[in-house]
Amino acid sequence: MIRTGDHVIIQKMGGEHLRVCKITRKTKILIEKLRFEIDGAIDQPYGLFEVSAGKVTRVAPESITDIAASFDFDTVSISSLSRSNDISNAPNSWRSATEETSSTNAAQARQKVTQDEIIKMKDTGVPAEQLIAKLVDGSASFSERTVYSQNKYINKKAKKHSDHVYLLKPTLRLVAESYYKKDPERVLHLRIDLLSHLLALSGIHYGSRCIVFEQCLGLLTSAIITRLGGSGACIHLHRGNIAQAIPCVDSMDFDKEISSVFLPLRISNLLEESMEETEEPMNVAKQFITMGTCVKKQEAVLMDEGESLSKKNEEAEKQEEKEDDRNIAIGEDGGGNASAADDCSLERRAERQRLQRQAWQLMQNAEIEILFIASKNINPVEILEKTWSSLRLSSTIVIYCPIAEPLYSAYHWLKIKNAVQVQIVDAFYRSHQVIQDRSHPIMQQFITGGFILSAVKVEQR
Amino acid sequence: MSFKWPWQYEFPPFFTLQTTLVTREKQLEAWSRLVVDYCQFHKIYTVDLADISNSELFVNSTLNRKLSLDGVRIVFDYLEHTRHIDWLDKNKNRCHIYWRRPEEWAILIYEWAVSNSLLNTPCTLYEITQGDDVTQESFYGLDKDVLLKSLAVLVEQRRAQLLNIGTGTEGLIAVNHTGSGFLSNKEIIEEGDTVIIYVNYGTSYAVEVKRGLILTMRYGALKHEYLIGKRYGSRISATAGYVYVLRPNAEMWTRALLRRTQIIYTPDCALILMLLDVKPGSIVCECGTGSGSLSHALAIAIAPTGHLYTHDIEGTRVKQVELEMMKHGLGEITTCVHQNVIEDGFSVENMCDAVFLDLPAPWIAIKHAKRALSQVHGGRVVSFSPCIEQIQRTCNALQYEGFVQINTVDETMASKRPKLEDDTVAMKSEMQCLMKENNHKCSTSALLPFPAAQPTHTGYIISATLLPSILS
Repeated sequence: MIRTGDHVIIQKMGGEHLRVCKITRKTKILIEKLRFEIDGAIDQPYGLFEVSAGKVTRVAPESITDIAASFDFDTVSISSLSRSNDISNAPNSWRSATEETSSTNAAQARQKVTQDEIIKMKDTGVPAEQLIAKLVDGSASFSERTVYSQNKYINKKAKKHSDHVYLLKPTLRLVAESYYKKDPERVLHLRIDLLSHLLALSGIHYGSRCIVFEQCLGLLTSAIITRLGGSGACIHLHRGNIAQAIPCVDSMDFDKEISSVFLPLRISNLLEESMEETEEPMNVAKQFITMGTCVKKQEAVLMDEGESLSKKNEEAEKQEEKEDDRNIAIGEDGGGNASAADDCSLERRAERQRLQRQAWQLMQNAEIEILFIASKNINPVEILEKTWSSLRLSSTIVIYCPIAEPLYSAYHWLKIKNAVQVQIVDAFYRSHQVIQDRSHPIMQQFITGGFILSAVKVEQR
Repeated sequence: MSFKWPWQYEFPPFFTLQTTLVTREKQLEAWSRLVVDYCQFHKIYTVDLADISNSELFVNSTLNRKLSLDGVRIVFDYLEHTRHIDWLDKNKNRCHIYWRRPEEWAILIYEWAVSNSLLNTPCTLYEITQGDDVTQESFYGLDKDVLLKSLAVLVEQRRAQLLNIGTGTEGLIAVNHTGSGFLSNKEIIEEGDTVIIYVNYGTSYAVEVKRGLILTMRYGALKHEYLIGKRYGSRISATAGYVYVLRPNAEMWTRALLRRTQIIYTPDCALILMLLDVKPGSIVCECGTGSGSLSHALAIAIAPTGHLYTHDIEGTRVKQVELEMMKHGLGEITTCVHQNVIEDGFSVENMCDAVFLDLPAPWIAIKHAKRALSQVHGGRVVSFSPCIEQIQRTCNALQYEGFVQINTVDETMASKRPKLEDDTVAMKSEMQCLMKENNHKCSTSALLPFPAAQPTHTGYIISATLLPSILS
């Protein structure tokens, strides 16, 4: 059921775009020029909906077959009775000369229905089928086209003027495809076939314990949490004090049990190889000091050339420090509200620290079974060096990168560490149009992707 | 040797319940650790709150500090929360204390049984805690009640059975091995496990470990006894070299399995699972069990609460895959059916989240797939066919039956490796020159396909969605 506060995947019937949207009353949706309010869908089952005059209503299940037949695919069977005149035989010059007297618009000469009439029909809620029927009647050359051309024309108009949308429950497949098609760069060009291959190579299942470092909006973390199903652990390494920039995880609407495996861990703890907070003496005075300051940075951390993991982390820490200072200022200004806010904030902080301790404990005990890395401008070898001792024997490592060069150094590093089953793969993936007598690969589609390096850790020599 | 008190014990605020939530959490954690360590040191199994709250544990005479009775109760509530105690009475005055949790004792006892070849052998409770074999073990002298609780954990994990013979006061135990580790997180290899013997890239064997058997391969012979008790990931010496023993997963199983039919390989398996929206708890129908390659991937992905119904027209194959699933610990979540889906449909109706078809004529089975899917939740259908004509007919059938979001894709995966230094003579001389000047390693600059022959087509994958048709 579609409920207020949940996320929903929106796709126009016959359209290519997928949108992830959070549902609230009075939400206005715009997808591929189709505009509507979402209220009519609340408390309805996920499925197919019809848009009319800016409102949305559910389509009865019995009608889905007819609608799908009308819009998505050609069902016009080739009949020996149908004409197959070639377009070149049309007397174009005569027809053009005749109609020149009535209109100077070249396009208008071929279509009787005017743009204003189309807009008016749409605003008054005329069903798309009728609109398309009028367009077909008004087309000057429709009857003279080949059957294939006629079907293509109808489908083109159907896609453009379609008034049906799918409202679907978010799944990993739909979320991955949505973000990839919207902006592939921000998810590191991680296509669904590469994402699924990462999961397969890792051997992840219910109860696995994983470490993940990623820079693709939480898409990989969402995949891991989905496959864990509420058991195991997903230690999410992140910069700053709080795991941010993971909208894919938010989009999946995981329930509490499924989310319980998500253990954010600050990358700074990993760099310093310590959980200082665990060892703090319980001194109230020190508690105030630590509240407003960041963990001290270890000067001995070597600075690599170019963009370094430490440097980026330091910048994030500075930003967090400013925010903390601002919070303290607000706290000092407020009176009773400040203490109430402090209590709530303290509870969240305590929960966060508990999760960090849990994650740190798993890593210190070398109980990690899978390491995932999906990085763009971070050298994966840095992460491997810090996490290698946390992996137990026969654990798997999978690294994804949109370009191949960083995987070279990781490949050699893993070879030196005597890992086995080391391989690099990439993939070619495409969609096909499948219609009777007109099947071919789709001629233009997103093809960007990346490379996957996988390996298994074994006993040293 | 006297008990070593932690630093907090000398810190006066430690004996006052802190009001700050974060600080209190740390305080309770330190107290619980202290209580457990103290009882472990003094071998205390049963605690009476009235007695212990006046003992040196909660009273520091030199500091003139004492934790209040309320504080003591809060500490023991915390211990209950972390499962280190069980209350013995309703008023919560007496409790068992476990300095190791029963799960931890269970692991130690089980590992002892494995390493001493006591699997499938009865042992008395006395032998486990007082026998000559266990004098060096940490559970020597373990309290009987704690032992019984630990054994209950093993029973729950199906690694042990409790038997009563003769008088009721003495129990007997038989330790059984579980099915092997596609789903387990075990560290140690046991008899009956299926393991992957990795010889080199491209060569690996799936072996069911049994005493007395020998695996023969390029690097010599390997007795199965050598594997028992080793850790997964260990390096094992064979008579003419060494191999690695790995924990199995679906991907390694696909590489190593005995093939009875053409199988679906890992990239397509992975994409099919993604297109089916499979996750733990899903209910999946599969048709065309074949050699069980995809069946393993599906079963592992839906465990532990989902279920896989896999159908095949060949009775022998059904039996063999069923046996394999049982051995691999996946038998409970898999039902193998000998059935002609084309004629008779699937063995379940109106309950599946996903249906997968790998058939010569999947278009005939689409109407059966629709019936198998849940009408309340809808579901996904995926079909795998090598020929585009098959896909055309399947597409028409899907459309006719009311499926939407029909989409056809194909995928080609290429395995590669960086160019190695000895691939060319020119590279050698260049490297020597660089090493003389800079003394650093020459970096590679290209990926080469490896091995040279790789698949360029496996099949088309068509997927579709059935929308819910009944209001829930």
